[in-house]
Amino acid sequence: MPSKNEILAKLSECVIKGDVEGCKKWAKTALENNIEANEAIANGCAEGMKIVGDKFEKGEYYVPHVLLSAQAMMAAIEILKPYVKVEKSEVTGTVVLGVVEGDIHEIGKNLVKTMLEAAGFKVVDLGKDVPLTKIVETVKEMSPDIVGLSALMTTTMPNMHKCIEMLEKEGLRDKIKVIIGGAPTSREFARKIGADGWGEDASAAVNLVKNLLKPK
Amino acid sequence: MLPREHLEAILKSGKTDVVPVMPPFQGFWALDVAGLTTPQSFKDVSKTASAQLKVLEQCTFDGIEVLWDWLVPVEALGCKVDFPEKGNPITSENIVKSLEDVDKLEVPDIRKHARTVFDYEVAEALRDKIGRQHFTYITMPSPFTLAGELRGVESLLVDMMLNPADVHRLLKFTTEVLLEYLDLTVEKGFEAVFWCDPTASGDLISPDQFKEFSLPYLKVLSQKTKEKNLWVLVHICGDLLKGADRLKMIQDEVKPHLMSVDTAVDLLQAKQSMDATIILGNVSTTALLQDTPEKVYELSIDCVKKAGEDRFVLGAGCDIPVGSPPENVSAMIKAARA
Repeated sequence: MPSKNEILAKLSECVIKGDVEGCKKWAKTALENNIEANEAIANGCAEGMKIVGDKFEKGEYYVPHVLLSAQAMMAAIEILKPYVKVEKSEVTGTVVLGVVEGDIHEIGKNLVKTMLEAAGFKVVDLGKDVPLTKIVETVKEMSPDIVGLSALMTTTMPNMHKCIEMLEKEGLRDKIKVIIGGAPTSREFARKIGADGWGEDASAAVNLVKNLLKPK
Repeated sequence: MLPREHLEAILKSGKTDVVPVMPPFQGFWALDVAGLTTPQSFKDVSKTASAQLKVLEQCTFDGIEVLWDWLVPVEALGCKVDFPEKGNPITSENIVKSLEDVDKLEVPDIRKHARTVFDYEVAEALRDKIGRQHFTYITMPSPFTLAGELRGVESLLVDMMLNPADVHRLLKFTTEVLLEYLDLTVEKGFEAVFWCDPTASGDLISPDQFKEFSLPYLKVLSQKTKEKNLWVLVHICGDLLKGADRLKMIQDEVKPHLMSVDTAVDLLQAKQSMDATIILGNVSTTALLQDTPEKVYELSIDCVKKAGEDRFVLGAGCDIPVGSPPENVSAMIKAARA
C-alpha cells in the first residue's frame, strides 16, 4: 500500500503532467487511505499547481500545458470536494475577477482564477466582457479583498481606468486593492491608472495577491 | 514615385529611398473615425469604401488593407457572430463543439455567402479607386487562428495536447476553406494577402506547438499564394523571439515576402533572424491609442533607427486600435517621411 506521502506526491505529479485520469485515480486512492480531502487538495493538487505556475513563469510551460494541468487538478478536486471539512478550509482572502467590458479574451483571467483557487483564495469570477457597473456592484455586495481586472485588447485597457474611477466615486476604492493584468498592460500603466499592482502572468498574480494581503 | 512604388521597390529589392508605411490593419479604426458603426459598415458598399478613403486623405499610408473583415470565414462556416458597435465581429458560438464535429464540416460556397460577397465588393471598389497609387491587400486569418474560432481557443489549446490528430484534421479543413478565399482573391485580381495568426502568439503556445500546428498550414497558404503571383504578408502576435527564434522558423518554412511583428519584438533582432524578409513594425498600439502625436512620432523614429532603412516598413505592432486619434496615426507617417 502506498504511503500518504507517496499518494500526495502522485497527485501532485499528475497535476504537473496534466494527467486527468491519474488525478482521478490518486484522488480516490487518497480517500481510500483516509487522507483528509483538505490535505489532498492542499499538499497534492495545489502543490502540483504551484510547480506548474513556476514552470510557466520560467517559460518551460506555455498556456496549453497550464490549461491541461488545471483540468487535471479540477478532476481530482471534483472527487475530493464532498469530503472537504468546511471548518478547515481556511479562506485566506476573496478576489473578484473579471475581463473588462468590450473584451472577450478570458484565457489569462481563467489561469489566474485556477492558480488563486489552488493557492487557497476564494475567487468570484464575473467572466468576460463584464459591464463596469457590475464590477462596482459586486464590490459593494461582497466586500472582497481584491479586485482583479483583465484586458487583452489595447482598446479595452482604458476601461480598467474607468472602473477604478467608478470605485472611487462610490467611495469603495480605499476598501479594496485593485490589481490588473493582460498582455498589453504594464507596471507603468498600472501605476498610471492608480491600480495597486500588476501581474505579468498568472503566477505573478498569485504572488501579488499574497503580498497585498500580507498582514502589515 | 507613387506610394505603391515605394512598397513594390522594397518588396522586390529590399531597398527604397523612403521608409514606406502600412498600418498594417486600419479597417475598423477607419470606419469608426468616419463615424460608421460595424453593423452599418455591412450595408452600403460605397459608403463603407468612402469611409476608408476619407481617413486615407488624412493618413496617407503607402499601402492599406481593403478587406479588413478578416474573420468573415467564421460566419461563412456557420458560426453565430455578434456585431459590436465598433471593431471586429465576435464569434459567439463555436460550431466544433466536440472533435467528432470535425468530420461533419463542409467547405462552404463562399461565393454565395452575403458578407463575403459584400466584403469583396468593398475591396474591389477601394482597389479600383486607389489601387493605382496605393498598394492594397486582403487580410485573412491563418488556418490555426480560424480553427480556434471554430473550436474555441481554450478548447483548441487543450485538444493540441490530448488529441493532436483531430486538431490536424481540423487544420486541414480550415486550410481548405482559406484556399477558397485565396481563389476568390486571385479571381478578383488582388495583389497581396496578409495572413494573420494571432492565436499562434508567442505568448500563448510553445515553440514546438507552433512548429507542429501553425507553421505547416501557413506554409501551404504561403506557397499557394506565391504560385498565384501574389505577395505574401504574414502577421503573428506576441514575442516571437522569446524561448526560441520563431521568426527564423517562419522565414525557413513559410517564406513570406513581408513579416509584421508585434511591439514586443526587438526590431533589430527580427531583421537578423529574418535576413531575407521585409520586416514591418512595430509602433506601440497603446501609444497610438493613449499617447500624444509627439510621443508616437518619437516611438516611430526609434523604430526606424533600430530597424534601419533597408528591408523595413513602418507600421503599428498590430491593429490600429479603434479610438486612436488620427493625429497620432499621421504622426507615424510623418516620422517615416522625416
